Amino acid sequence: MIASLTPQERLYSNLPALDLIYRAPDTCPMTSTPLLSATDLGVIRGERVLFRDISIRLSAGDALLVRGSNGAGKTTLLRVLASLTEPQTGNCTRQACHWIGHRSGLKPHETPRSHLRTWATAWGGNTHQIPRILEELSLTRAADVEAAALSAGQSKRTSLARTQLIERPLWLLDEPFSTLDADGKTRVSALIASHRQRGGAVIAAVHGDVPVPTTRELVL
Amino acid sequence: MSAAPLRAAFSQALREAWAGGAGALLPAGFFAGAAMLVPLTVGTDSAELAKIAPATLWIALALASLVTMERLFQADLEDGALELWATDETPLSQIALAKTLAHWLVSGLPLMLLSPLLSLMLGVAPENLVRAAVTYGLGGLAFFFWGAFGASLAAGIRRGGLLIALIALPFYVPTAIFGALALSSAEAVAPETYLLAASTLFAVAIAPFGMGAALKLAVD
Repeated sequence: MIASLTPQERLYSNLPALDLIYRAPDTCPMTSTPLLSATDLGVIRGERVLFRDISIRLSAGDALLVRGSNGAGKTTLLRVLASLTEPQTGNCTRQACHWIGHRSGLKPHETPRSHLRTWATAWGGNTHQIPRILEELSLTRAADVEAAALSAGQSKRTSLARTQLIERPLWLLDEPFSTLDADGKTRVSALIASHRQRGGAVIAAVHGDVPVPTTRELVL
Repeated sequence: MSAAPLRAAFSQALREAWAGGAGALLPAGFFAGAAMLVPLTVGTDSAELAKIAPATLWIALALASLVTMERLFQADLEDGALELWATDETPLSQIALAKTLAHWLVSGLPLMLLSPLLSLMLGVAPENLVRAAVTYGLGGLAFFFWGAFGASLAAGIRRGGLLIALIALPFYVPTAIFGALALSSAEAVAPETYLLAASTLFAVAIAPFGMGAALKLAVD
């Protein structure tokens, strides 16, 4: 009877067992809606084929790590999945996503607090949660510092904090752990884990060892 | 679709404009400065000055509207805010509309408010001041929308200020023609005023779509 729930109901349900049921798209692909489904993606930059024939299918609870050397096209692939960049071949359908790119999205005169307030307003999130979110990412002390004076790690934490403002099934993270200290890495991997627990999925471009139990890896 | 993202974009643009200090009033300073040079170069014959006053102020207004246009979308592109808007469901054209209105409120409205003072300085009869200010206000709105369209096309280009002027100035032509005719007419509300209003309405209705498309390309 659980399988008769809509994907939305499954997504927001906290039952851990759902994770397992929902994570079996390979055995019954027709019965579950993937959070992201991309087929035959290919991008050409200049005269170079950056990547081609990439197909991705992501279900609730999945985490896909994208690896590759600098310039291999990790960021471009993520941008294609976020529909920021138009691919030369293939197509991608997905549910609503949080995009955390290299650029933090902070305006020079914004503080972490006002930044989160702006986007909570824009997305219809609850602004009362902001102090808790700041706490969660250990940004309380920096909450009222203007972006120009924040460290790289603090800006990164602020942009990652946006994922907590509203629930979106898919997180697209471009090097979420770069510039973060050990404490930051722990906190962010906890956020990712609880997001997957709730039935979300994550795609992250990463380098080296990362504290994310992976379901799949993609090497470009 | 809700209006919340538009309100957020609008207030974010307002806050950033004011946080930058008096930078938002730069166009007003330019407008006044350009108008002040006219009596110094043309001479102090007040009848002659009054005759060329509208033409002078239209030119000064057109150029003043372009002064701070360069950063309108470029800043969003550089700090990553544009990526966040682009991954949102709200069409970029509407975000651009909200941002342009905020920019006009901060930088364009002061030009309109300043125009009676400058008109008076150039010897325009006091009974015509209000009509002139309304006409400059209408025309200025069109200038800001076409200028913002130019800014969206040049968003990805460093030092694109001159390019913005080259793109936008041809679009300024109808406004300049109808605006100048409206003020040279002896009637209280000249027929040309309606044509000016129509061209402004056209700019406000059409330019945002152009901006949306241009920003989509810029973010790619």
